[in-house]
Amino acid sequence: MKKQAKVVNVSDRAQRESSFAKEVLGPLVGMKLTISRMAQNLTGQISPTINYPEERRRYSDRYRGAHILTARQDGSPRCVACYMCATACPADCIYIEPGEHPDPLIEKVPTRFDIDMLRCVFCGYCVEACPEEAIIMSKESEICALGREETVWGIERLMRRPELKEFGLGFRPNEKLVDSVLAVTPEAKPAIRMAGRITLKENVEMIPHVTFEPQQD
Amino acid sequence: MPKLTINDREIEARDGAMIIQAAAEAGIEIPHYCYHQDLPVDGNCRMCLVEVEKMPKLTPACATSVSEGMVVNTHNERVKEAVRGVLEFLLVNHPVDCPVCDQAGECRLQDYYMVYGLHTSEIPLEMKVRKRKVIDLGPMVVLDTERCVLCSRCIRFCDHVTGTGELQFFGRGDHVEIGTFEDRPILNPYSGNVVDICPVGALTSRDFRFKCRVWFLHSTDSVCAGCSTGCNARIDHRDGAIFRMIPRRNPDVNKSWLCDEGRLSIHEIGRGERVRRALIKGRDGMQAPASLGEALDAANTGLREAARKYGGAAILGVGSASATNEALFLLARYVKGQLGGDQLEFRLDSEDRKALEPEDKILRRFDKHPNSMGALALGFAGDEIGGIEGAISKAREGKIKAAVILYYKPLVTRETDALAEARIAELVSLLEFSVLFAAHKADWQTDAGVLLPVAAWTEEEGTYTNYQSRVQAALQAINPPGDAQPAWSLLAALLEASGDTSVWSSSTDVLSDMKQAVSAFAGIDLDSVYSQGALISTNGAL
Amino acid sequence: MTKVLLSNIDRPEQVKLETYRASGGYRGLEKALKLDQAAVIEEVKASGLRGRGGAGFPTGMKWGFVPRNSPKPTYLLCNADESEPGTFKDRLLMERDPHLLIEGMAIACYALNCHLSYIYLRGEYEFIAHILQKALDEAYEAKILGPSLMGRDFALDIFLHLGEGAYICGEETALIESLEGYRGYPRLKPPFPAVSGFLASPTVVNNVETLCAVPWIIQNGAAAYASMGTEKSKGTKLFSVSGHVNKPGVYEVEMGYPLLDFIKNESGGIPNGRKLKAVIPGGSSVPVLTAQECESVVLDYESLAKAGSMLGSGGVIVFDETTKMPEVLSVIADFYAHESCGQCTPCREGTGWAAKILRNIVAGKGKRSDLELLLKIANMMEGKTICPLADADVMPIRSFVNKFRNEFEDFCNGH
Repeated sequence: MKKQAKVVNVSDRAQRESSFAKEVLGPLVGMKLTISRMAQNLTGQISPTINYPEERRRYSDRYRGAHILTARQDGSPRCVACYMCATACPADCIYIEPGEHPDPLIEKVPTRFDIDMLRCVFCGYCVEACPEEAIIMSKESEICALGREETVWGIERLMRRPELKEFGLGFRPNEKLVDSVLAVTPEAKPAIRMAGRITLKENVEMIPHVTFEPQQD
Repeated sequence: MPKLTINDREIEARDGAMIIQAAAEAGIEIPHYCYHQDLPVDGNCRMCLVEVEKMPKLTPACATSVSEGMVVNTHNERVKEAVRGVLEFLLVNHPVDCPVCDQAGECRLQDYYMVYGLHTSEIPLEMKVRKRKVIDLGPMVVLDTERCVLCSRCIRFCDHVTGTGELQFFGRGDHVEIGTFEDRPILNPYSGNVVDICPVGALTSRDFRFKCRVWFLHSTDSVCAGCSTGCNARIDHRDGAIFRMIPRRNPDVNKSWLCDEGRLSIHEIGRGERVRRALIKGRDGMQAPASLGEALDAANTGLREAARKYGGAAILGVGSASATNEALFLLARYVKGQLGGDQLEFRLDSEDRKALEPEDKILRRFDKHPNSMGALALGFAGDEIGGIEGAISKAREGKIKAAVILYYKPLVTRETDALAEARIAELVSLLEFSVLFAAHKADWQTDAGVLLPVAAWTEEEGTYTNYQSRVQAALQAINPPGDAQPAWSLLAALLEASGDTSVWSSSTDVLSDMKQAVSAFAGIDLDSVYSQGALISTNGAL
Repeated sequence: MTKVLLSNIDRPEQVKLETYRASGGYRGLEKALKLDQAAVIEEVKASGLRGRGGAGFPTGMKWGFVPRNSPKPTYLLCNADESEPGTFKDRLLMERDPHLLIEGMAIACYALNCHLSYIYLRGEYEFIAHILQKALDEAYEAKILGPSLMGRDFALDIFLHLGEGAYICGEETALIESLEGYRGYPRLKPPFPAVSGFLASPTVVNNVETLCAVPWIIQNGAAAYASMGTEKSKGTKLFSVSGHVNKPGVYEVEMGYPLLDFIKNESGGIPNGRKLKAVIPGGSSVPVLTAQECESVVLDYESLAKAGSMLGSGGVIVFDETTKMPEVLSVIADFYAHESCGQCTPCREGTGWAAKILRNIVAGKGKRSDLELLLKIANMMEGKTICPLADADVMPIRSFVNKFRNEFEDFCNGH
């Protein structure tokens, strides 16, 4: 026997089952969160906008900002000029010139390492390709310059980063680096998860393989 | 011709061939480190173990000769297991410093690991044997004993090819290292080859070291222009810069070798200032830059006028033993066919004699030009002139008034080069009008009526005829600088401007025409010119 | 029991030619010189003498492989590079009875039509070199050696060559390479030395003990020799006993002597009444036998092969119940790692790797998975190399780990 499809009249059913509670209160219940946020907003409890640049948001630890070249204990770059980053780079923005390192166990060292920040697409492939954790990223997103040539960052600029005090480290392969690199005070930690106003004045400790410029003030 | 079966395929092999050769000729690759076609068999790496029916143990394919009815298996589980094991052993004490190793990208350890290995290392880093790194072994070679797989190819090269025996093993067990006595430099003139034959990054080239990662390089087949041997080579370049030249195997010419001077000759092109624009000498006697078109016009006009004024006998064509066959052929055609001249010369320093004289027992020859035999075959050794000195004295006597001259700086330098260049300079200074094709600038060139910028070797496609009278093709690797063009192309333009109806759009077109026009080249096969070279008959003439 | 090799070993001043002659020396050579060259080879063949260096290849057959009409000279090399741990029998023969070896070599040279012969002596045996050289000088003086062998029209020169202390040079092709002045690397075979050996000429390499048995065979006849021993392993053999026995030393017994009786009777049993734990019957490179396995074993090639071990060079090493087997194996593995010549990959890297793992285990830093790794390394090495040194490392590793696994695991369990 052939089965016959059952016909349901939708508009009939809607008319039959409609009620005030469903038509009016239903949407309000659905917008509960929105409305409560609106109320908080109107009363000034939280604000979606911040007074940038005086106030800044805390970016994710995986934020891909301007690059950092990490250093060895003696302050020389960890980079061994293997060209893995330059090979992986889709924007072709890394230029390296290698030289001989006096220590045969290191053997190779960059004499030039330039990143054209204007060409860079901040994809982070260079960080992932690096076998030495020699290039990592920071949370620095403000790359301003007065001329194009200033946007090509050389070894010196990539290694000495006073701004790191303010921005902190970004995307890097070794998650363990988090604690050792950016020693955030325990009180400040929960604040990172909230999207509210955070004052970025944590203690940033130095780690041996990232060199910072000595504090100016 | 024994017949054998390799991996269920019937194969006919040469008598006395080893399994590895028979397999390679049939297109079956057997992994290996120590085996090399042009070196004696050693059989120490154990990578080429294969299963041969009726043999209880796996046997090295490089040291087992084929026999009738042999059944060989190179890819069953037992063989793969053995190869995987050997590879794991090779990597046990390997530092795996691929990021700083120049060989990365063309390393046999990397290649075979991807095919056979893919294992996780079971030895902790601190248990590895550490050996010496970055040892300076002379002008061509840097040694890293840690990366070495001890295949002994370099040792056998120094023992059996050059016979100098600088390298040897030191130590025992997993502490064996290669090295030279007291780290003395390897000073034989073929030392660069040990870098090429090293299957891993143990021997790296001092010249190429850290210059460029190999995966950025593009390769072009070429022929070394350093001497009349005409070794087959491969030019590796990137973004218009040449990084290295390595040998390309040709069993009839250079086997797998290249001499150090030839290897370094790539740097000679970049040395000194290049001629980038055409120059025309004005009425005031000063040269002024001009477009190629203007310069070619000026050259044609000037030469035709000289021919009209003094007759064809006063026009001389001076070829170069460094020019391609194509350029020489068109030069001869222009001078003889269009200007009515009948005098051709190319010898600056008795190249015709030196071309056949070996400098040593391996590759090098005294004549440091790639195409002396080509110039001879194309009739550039005019008997009545007898070399450049004859031309100079004729010019002094006023019998020669104008000339078309091709001049290239030799890529492998010798003390006599300056003398040869001085002779050309003297000839140019004596002439009333000269058209000079040159790649590099020199002071004496201010005497030339028209100076045309030409492409140097590696910047043009063309053929050279080596000392065996073998015509071999060198392809274009990089672009010539400025306005420079291949000499054959400029000469083709001159011929067209003066009414020759032939059209040549490539150097191969010229070669095809040459094949018809020159009896010596009649028998050559164009395909072999581009692979192993084609022999010409030596007593032909234009 | 008849002594073939050690009959005069305790005679004072046996090293001197006159004493040796007085004890019946050089009569075998005299007798051999009266025979046809081929007849001497036949006699040795008939005696069933087998190579005493370790492989046990029939000596007469080896001599028979040498092409008779080769345009190149034939060489006899005496392998006196006795370096196998636990073996010191050749040393005794050369130290106490050097003329026996010279006589044996002279007979062999005559049989092989060889006019130039070398003794390749282990580097550490420098003191023996003086004894041997003195004996050679005496033989030359007495006109036994030299332009005419015992007055016959047959020139024979024997030279002594002192090695530099490499175990691998006991391997015949490495010995040849070393003697030629190259690095002691074993050669690829084929070609075998009988066809192309020393200076690319036909070459026979024989052990000291093998050559020392030849004079007796010639003098007393092949049948007398063949009557001793078992059916396939004929004659007598020297055994160097070391380890936990009361009287370690070199003993000559007939083939087929029961192993346990040998330990008990000849070498005086195990001290302090301790129990036997294991025996390595043929030098460190053969598989170890547990006490239980030893019960049914007699000392000949076949019985030991049946028990899963080998007669090898006859270096019997006895371990009592106090022995820690991982420590023993670690010492053995260290030896092979040190002595691997480094020519082919599996042995060069494998022996070193195995030794490091064992050192770790003995130091209490091992893991249980290391035992699997050891067996894997053994599999990866076995049968992949030019010479048998890798196999010589594989056999102890495999037999020790498999037979005494619980001991190894105890070492690993500490951590």
